[in-house]
Amino acid sequence: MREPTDRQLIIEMQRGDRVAMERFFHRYSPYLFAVCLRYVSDGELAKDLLQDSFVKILTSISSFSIDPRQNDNELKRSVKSWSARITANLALNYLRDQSWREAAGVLQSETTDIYDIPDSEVDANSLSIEVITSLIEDLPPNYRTVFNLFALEGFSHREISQMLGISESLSATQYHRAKSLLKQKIKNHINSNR
Amino acid sequence: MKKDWTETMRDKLSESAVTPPDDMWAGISSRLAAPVPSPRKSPLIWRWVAVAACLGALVVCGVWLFDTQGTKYKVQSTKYIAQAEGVDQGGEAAHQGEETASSQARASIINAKIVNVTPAVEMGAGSSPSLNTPAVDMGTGSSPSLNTQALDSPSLEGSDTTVVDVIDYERLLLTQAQEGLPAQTVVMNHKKLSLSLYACNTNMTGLGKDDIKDDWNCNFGTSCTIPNGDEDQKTSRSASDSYTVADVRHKQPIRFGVSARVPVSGSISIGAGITYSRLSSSITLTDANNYYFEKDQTLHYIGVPVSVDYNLPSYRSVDFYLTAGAMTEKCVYGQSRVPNSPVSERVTEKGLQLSMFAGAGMQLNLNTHLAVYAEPLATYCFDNHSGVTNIYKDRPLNIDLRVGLRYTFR
Repeated sequence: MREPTDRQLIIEMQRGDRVAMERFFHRYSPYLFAVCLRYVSDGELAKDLLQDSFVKILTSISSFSIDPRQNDNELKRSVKSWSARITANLALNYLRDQSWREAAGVLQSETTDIYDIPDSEVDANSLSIEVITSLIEDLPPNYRTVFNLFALEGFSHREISQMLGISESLSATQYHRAKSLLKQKIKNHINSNR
Repeated sequence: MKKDWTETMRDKLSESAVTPPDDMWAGISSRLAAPVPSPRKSPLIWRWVAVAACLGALVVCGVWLFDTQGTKYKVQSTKYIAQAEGVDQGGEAAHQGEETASSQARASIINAKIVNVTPAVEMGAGSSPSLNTPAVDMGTGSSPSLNTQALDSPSLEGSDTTVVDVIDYERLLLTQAQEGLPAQTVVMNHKKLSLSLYACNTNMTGLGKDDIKDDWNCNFGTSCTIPNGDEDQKTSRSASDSYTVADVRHKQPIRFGVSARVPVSGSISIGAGITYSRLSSSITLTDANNYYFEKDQTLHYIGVPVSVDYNLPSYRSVDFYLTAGAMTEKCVYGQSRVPNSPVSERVTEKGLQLSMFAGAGMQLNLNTHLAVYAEPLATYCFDNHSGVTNIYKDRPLNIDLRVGLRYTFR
């Protein structure tokens, strides 16, 4: 039997079809679980976050609008981006509840000297998904959060500042520091594997 | 054009996938099938504000009703009645007896004549009341009116004044008008409801410094270090099981309030109101490995103060009084936050915060209704044994300066 397209699934879900919801879950949960793990490294916490995210996604699927001009690939990207944003928003609530110790790491990292490396020296193509995930996970929590939200989820600094309760300039500063730190880590990783 | 390396990362990660546990859908499905939870209750802070506002409104209404029903006038009765009745002012004892008898006789005569009495009387501010615009309207007979010019105001002090109720006062006014007696013989002390809007700053006195090394400047942003050797104190101030409070810096507390005050006798007034207080502190925590970090804590309190004031003699347009009272406060919202971080934590304090205060007040009357006042108060906060670190616990005994604006209904 042929698998339904995303368009069909979403229309059925918007009608309240539970089978379509389950199909949607099995189709997108691996991607969203990876998103969860980018924000919260603890596996159990990530599972809770994924469950909350899906409940939120499935209960607000009626607000997702399908553009008839979009082809299947574009719609898939659109669904992924919409779902990832919901997950990111919920992840921030989890981050707020995390221990102060992790937050302390944020403060300590502020004073760390970061040497900027030219973008041209960074080759992300040679890195595997696992390595990229691991390098991002190694970032201090606030840098990681801002990097995930800006670079990967596509939120603007204005949106991030509202979500995190920080200024836009601080969001931009933290993103640039995160980028610099990540470049350093990528370079170190490549050098160590030569 | 070469792609930015972050875009490359994004593209790669859009393909990333981690298989979740098999049983996850069952959990989601059961949550979807569960009944929709009831709409979220209004935030706790607003519920407490509503409760405090209701209490405040209740007190103000009670005071207002009490004020209206208990209206009394103060009259220089002995001289006035003696003159009104044409009694010879001989010995003091004889005079007292005559006063009662003649007052009763006069009242019964006047009572028969009165159909409708509508006095409109205002007093001057401060200690120099004057009869400004009394107007007595009679339904029958002549329509006498009192002299509406400002008159020399008699002093309220002395033993020749007595308190009468509003009916007696009206009768006296009428008699006074009919018989052409000098208006200055009548003075009144109408009970006045006053509403105050004030701000309060808590100054630190250094009292109670046994438990905090730094004293005077603690409240103004400098360090309040907890003695390192005091293990009990460390434990009691522990923010959690794994952290110990290493240093607390309290910022200037801010308090605003609205209160109502009404005299219950010649020199005593009672008051009640509602206050909002904001306490901010910067707390440094440490763990067993000497790992330090800071958090900013902000607590919001709603309080209901009640007070008793004792009026002292006034000087020109300045009134002086002593005040004492108690206040109950509730922490309606509290938050701890690591600076520049999304990490925050709710701080809850279950118990009520009780405090007592006493001090002196000085009120400068700007006009008949409006006055500014200042009240230096000594306050003492009782320990409510909550685990929340705040200035109430660190500095139970304080000197507050309350300044405000008071409007008096006359």
